[in-house]
Amino acid sequence: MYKNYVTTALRNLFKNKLYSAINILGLTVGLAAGLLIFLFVRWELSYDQWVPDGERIYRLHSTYEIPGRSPFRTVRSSGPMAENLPLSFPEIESIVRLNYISPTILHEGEAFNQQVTMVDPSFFDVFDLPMAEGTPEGALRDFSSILISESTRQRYFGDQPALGKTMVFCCLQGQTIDLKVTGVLKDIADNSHLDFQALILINKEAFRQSPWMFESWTSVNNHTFIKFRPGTDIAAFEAGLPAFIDEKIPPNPDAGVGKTSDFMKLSLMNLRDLHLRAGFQASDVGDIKPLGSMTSVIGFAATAILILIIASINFMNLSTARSSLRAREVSLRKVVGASKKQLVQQFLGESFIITAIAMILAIVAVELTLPWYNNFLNLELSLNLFTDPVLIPALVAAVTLLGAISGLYPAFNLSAFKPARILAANQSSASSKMGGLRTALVVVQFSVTVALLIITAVVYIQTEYAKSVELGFERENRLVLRGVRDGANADSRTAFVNEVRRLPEVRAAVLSSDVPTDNNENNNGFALAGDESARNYALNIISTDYGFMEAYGIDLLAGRDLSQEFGSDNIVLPPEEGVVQTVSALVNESAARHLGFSDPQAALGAILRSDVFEAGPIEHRIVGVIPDLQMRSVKYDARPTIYFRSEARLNDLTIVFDGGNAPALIDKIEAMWRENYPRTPFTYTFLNDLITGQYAEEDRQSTVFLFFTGLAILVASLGLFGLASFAIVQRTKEVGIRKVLGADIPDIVRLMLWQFSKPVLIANLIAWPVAWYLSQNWLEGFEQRISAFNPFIFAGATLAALLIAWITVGGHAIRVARSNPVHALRYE
Amino acid sequence: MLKLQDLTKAYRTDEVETTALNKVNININAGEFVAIMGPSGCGKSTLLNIVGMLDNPTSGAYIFLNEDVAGYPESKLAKIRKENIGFIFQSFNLIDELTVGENIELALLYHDDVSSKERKERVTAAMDKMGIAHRAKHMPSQLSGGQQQRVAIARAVVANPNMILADEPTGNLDSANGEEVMNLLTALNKEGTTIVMVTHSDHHAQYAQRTINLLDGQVVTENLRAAQ
Repeated sequence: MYKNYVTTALRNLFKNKLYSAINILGLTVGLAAGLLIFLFVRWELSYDQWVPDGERIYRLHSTYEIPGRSPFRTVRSSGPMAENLPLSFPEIESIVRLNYISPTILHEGEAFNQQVTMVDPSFFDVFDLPMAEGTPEGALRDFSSILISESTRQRYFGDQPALGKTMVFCCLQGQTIDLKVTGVLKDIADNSHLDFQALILINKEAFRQSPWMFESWTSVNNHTFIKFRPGTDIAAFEAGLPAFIDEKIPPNPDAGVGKTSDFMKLSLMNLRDLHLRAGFQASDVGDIKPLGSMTSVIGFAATAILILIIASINFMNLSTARSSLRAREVSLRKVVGASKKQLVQQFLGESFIITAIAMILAIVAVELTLPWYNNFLNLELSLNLFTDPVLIPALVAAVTLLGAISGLYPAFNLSAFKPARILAANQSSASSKMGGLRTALVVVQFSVTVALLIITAVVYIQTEYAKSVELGFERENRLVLRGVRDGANADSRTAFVNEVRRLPEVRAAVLSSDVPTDNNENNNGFALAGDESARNYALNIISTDYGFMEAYGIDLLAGRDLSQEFGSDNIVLPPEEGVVQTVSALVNESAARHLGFSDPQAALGAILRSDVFEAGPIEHRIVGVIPDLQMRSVKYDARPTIYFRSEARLNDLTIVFDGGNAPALIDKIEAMWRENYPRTPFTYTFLNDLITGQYAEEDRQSTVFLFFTGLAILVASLGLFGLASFAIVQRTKEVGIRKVLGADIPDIVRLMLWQFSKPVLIANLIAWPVAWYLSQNWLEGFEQRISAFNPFIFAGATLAALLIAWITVGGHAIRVARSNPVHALRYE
Repeated sequence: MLKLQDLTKAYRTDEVETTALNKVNININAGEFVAIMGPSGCGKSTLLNIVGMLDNPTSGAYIFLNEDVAGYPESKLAKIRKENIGFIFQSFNLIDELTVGENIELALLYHDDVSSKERKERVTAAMDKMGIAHRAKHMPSQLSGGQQQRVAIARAVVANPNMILADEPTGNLDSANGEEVMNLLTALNKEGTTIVMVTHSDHHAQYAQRTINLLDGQVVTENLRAAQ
């Protein structure tokens, strides 16, 4: 019996080559897309699942509700938290701070940039990570110990053991330090948000001059990880945090009246959620590694399911459309005694066979596309059918589920034929119309396709918009060098900058603490002289050199740029005892508004008081107002910012050059660098690359969506092609009648195209609101965004869908329109 | 009205050539009612298809209203056809998805010179004439065979053709309905419409003024009956 089923199934496959090809190809594409997405989603969801006790490890995130601007959210927290939280909360088993720095390592006469994490001695209590050399107890013994990863060992020592070897750190707080390797950590898997290349102990003494690193309650520079005791009620812990904050930290005057906890909030996020969720809860300001996005994961997973649904609908539609061709077989089987159940089994079996064939082809397709896909996503996903314990069961489950979904309706539909009627009438049981249900399913397919088209267009256009948005400053022909201050002494630095300025192709070279795309937030309180509320206004500080605004092509709204011509445009350090310095400053438009000035002109001359940068009390006189700059990704709005010159902060150099031979210029600059910065590697970036680089993730997303949307369209078109070839044959008689009555070929083609345009148009009506809603949601992640209601996108998607339908159906329509009506009308 | 001269139609399939019509010569005058008879496979339907310009002859001439249309391309034939010829089929050939009214209107839909208002009026008039006005909104499947054929006749006449070609119009009808259809055709003929009808029924052939008998693709006899 089963042999007979299989024989019939295979013969049917071969007999109807077009339908079989469409079915199998559609399912193959659907399954391949599904598999590719599955691999990606599984990878994204696997982050840090392997970390021992990961379910008990949380990171402490901070949010500052600064009045007059959007909250400052960060995944970091202040230094004293780690020392004080365990005293108040016994449920904390261990706690560790991670503080990332990038000093230089001198090795065999060469200088290397090296990421180093400063940690507390409790590191291994929180992260129970395996070691390749040494023991947790022996590592991180003292301030001259260093723990490195296998990759770092490879970098400096090759394949040799590293235990006991010495590494020379250049210029940690101005001094060269010899560190001894006391252990080697096994490399951490890629699917981790954690990144440890080299670890040293936090030496608070060494940072006495930089209290914001570890000692200030309000500076957030550390990743604080807490391991809770098993069974801890995390919600209860979080509920206790406001009281802790109020007890430890005096209220910030900027918050006006009220408690510190109204201004400063702490929250926890589990280690295993960090990769996908940290970007939601806090901004990605200064996170350890680039974050994934739950939106992408959900978006891709949904796309995979939708493509599979489209493929599954193809199967249902083609099977039921073809059912008339099999009516006689079904009837004969019933006549000779087949029960309905047996027939359902037979047809379901056929559906499983087809799905299984498609799955095998899909696996081949995935193997072929994986290298490209990996390259694109910058991942190393693989399809290890035999070593991966999940894959085979998952694939079998997918075939079973998809086979059942696709096959159940056709199976019941086919097995329900009344044999007497079909055999006696010697006719088909199918109506000459494209069935109502089939039309509905086509509507579903095209709704999905159109919605994907619209969303893809929105993602693409927004990304392009973000890359080209008006920034408020010039981005072309600007080179950025980092570490200009930290890398050398004052003489060398001055010599270098002056040499660069003297180059004929250099129009300007200006120093600053930040360059566009930097995510640092350095907020400080400023009191406005004459303001009776005695309020402290939080402003973000950026230190800029003389002529910075001009070099960046920024048009001032009022006043002037900082200039060496004025003796008052620089903070003098150390301050003279008992003297209040008055220093010029610029503010941006947001800051002027925040301070209560209705127009930029009104802010000029205003005095702000602060005690920033250990300079003692300072009076900042506003001498200029600039527009809000788009310093960061368009995801974020502009922060109220104050600009003044503080020599000690000027670490980045922006070189404005005449367009032309940039490589030659870079060579010259590098030579000057090597001369003045013998212990710091030369690195540079173009400002333009920094800015477009901010959208790498969106770029990737939009391309991947484009790819999968293309696949969805392909599968839907395949289905429509098959259905059209069937439905149009069914209308042959009608076409004959119309031709006899005077219709010409264009009349008939129009008629046929209209038949398939209707479901596409209805699909558009369904897709529009859904796509609009989803696009709107996605766009809300951007402060600067295109409108989700762009008539061109919607009309374009409709037109594209119609064109796809017309191209798909057109061939059939022309063929039937050209056929001689005589053949259609002669017999009935 | 039309003149067929040495008209031949041959079908070729691979290596076998079948001659459906072999040098047929027929004249039909305007206003005539002609019946074509003959056994199955004698070429009746082929002849009717060629006369109806649904098919091209292999050789010979087909003079229609003083024009030799034998070699005309399809688009030109379609134009002549829709201006001059109405069709009635044995199996009615109504479109199942359209109502009675819409089926009749279809014949005017491809005439650009007929306004939508005029179309409605002419459809209503045709339905009145055929006694099916009360069925305008019904679907073909809700009608009896006789009613369906009356719809088909209404559709054939609504465009005011000079000539109606009827392919066994009574073949699927019982005798009462058959008589009814013949009376309608006779009435149309009296109004001046040329009618060419293929039939198997001697009785129904009596309604025609002339009967052409075909056998194996050739005209064997022509019987002229005196006008009644």
